[in-house]
Amino acid sequence: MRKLFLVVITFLLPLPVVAHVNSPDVYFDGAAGPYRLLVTIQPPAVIPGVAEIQIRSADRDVDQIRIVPLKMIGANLPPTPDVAERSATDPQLFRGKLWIMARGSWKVQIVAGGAKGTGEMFVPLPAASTYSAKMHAGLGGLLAILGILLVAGIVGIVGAAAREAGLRAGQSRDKARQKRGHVREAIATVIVVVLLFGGERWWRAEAADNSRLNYKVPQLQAELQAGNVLRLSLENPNIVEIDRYGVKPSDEFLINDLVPDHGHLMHFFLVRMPDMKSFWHLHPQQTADGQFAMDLPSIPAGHYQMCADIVHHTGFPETEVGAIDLPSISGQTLAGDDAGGADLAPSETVSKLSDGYRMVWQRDTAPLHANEPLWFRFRIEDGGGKPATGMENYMGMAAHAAFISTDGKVFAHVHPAGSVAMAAEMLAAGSAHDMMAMQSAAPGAEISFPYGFPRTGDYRIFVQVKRAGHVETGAFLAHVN
Amino acid sequence: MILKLEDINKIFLHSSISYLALGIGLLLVIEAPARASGHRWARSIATGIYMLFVMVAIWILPLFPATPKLGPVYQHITHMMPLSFPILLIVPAFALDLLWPRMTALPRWQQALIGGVTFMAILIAVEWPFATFLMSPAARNWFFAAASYPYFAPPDAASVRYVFRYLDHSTAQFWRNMGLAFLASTLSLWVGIVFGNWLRKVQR
Repeated sequence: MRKLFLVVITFLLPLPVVAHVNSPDVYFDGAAGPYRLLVTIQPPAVIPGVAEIQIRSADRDVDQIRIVPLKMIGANLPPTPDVAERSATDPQLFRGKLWIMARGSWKVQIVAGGAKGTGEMFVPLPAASTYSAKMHAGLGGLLAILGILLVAGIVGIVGAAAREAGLRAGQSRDKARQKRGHVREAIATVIVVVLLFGGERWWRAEAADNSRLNYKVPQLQAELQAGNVLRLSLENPNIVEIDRYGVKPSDEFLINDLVPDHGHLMHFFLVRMPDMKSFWHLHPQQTADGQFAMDLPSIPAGHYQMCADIVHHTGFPETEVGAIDLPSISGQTLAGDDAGGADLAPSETVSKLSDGYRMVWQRDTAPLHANEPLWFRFRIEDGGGKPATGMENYMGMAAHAAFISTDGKVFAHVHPAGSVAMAAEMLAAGSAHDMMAMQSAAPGAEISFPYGFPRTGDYRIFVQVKRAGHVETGAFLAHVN
Repeated sequence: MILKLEDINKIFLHSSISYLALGIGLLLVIEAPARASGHRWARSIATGIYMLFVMVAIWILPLFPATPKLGPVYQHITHMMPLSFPILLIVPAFALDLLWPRMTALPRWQQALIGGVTFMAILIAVEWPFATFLMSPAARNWFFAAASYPYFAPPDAASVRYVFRYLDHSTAQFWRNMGLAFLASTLSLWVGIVFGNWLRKVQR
């Protein structure tokens, strides 16, 4: 009962976040058969909890959408699906709520039906408790008052029973009975208070057990060694133990189970703080379980924030974070998929690229708001304003973007398909087919990302595309109200 | 018994926690109304009703179709799943009913000591081997419903594998908790005797 009560209480409260770094909401642009859908999922901050899902159909031909959460691995039997509720004012908008009952890697199955038949898609959803919610003061006060009434009630009943329960009809209570009643009331009060203190200790022990399961953001340790070699050590603070029922979750966190995402086990982002003009997207090699290393390119000196994206075999993505002070490094030339820039001047709308090309953020004049799903559209042009040609896929995607708050507390690595890791998307879909298809289709000069800023403040947006064999990075400013 | 469900799951019935949980308070709620009623077999009747209630639920609930509404779903479930077979409380309760007339001349603390120790000893003596039986293939039928586990039980859950979980970290911890189970049983019975005797004096 106490556990159920905890669940109910925590569900009632507004809560913060996880995934990427402080950017937990999932944005996904995909196709459910013939229907193109933009899916936004706000995962619960406490598990068990309710995920809010919003689905926008690109066309008006979707009649019904059914949603059901499934574990990514381990449990493949679906519970009864829910029908997403269609908005009364916007027929292309559907909303639903999904109970997420366990921590770990989930996927949401979305089945859309309409004039073109039925189509299915899966959206990865990492779920983790990020903190233990405190009881709302108002609710606590109400429960305290009710508790005092209960205590007063039981003490009163004991006193009345001691005074009057033995009285025969017509007999009045004497002084001895009065006194006995008071003594029994005092004894009952002491017993109840002792029980309440015991209960409070019990509650705290349960709460401590529960909070041990809260997700802890792993900290990345970095060391610069001779020859400009940067060595990275991953942390795994979220080790799961076997529970009292003998169950160890199949999607426990391991450090030796990483899977490639866009062909790399790690996507490593270095941003110099606080000017954020030196930005690098690199790909260290794994040297041992939890150990990575790479030769750094030429990087200006400064205090750098590190964000390392990894994906576990369960499809659960993590971002390990850290910071390092680097001297001016004269390193190797950028090669492969490594890219970045030492002096990226940010702009509100136009970012200069090499060879006279430029990247234009096609935004309207409306102010940006937190927690609002948006399409971030960019166009790559030549010096004359014509759409760029020779665009290529960059690690299997038309583009990559990093949304980073200027205080360094928010980081999200986003693709045109959304904020989910490609490795997780492929695992959710059950094949590598989509990845191969994406690699074969050349992108155009216009790219877009579905994303929403998780909080107000100033952000830097780094957009990376590949053209004529070179990776270009555009930098933009965004102020979020 | 509902409050004790978490700790009297059949997979814990070879751990001390189950018997400690059963020792706390149970004899209070059995003994007090038994004394108040004055019925010769009140303890057997009360525990018999508990067992019959759970057993009837075991036999009736699976007749109703049901599907899981929440994930993760590890077990293919098509009907309502009952709780485990009830604890065999009627056996030690019957022993208390037999003892009661023979103890009326004894002081209350002696009644509590004899009754509490006897109850817990017989409970352990019957429930321990019965738990072993519940884990065996012979119990996986409609009557004992040992093959009944929730949709959210993964394949490696102890209940799905029909194995016990041993929650005692050491032999010393096991015997300490078992000792506490006898103590709790005795104290609960003492409170039940006091409360039950008082209930008999209540005027209407």
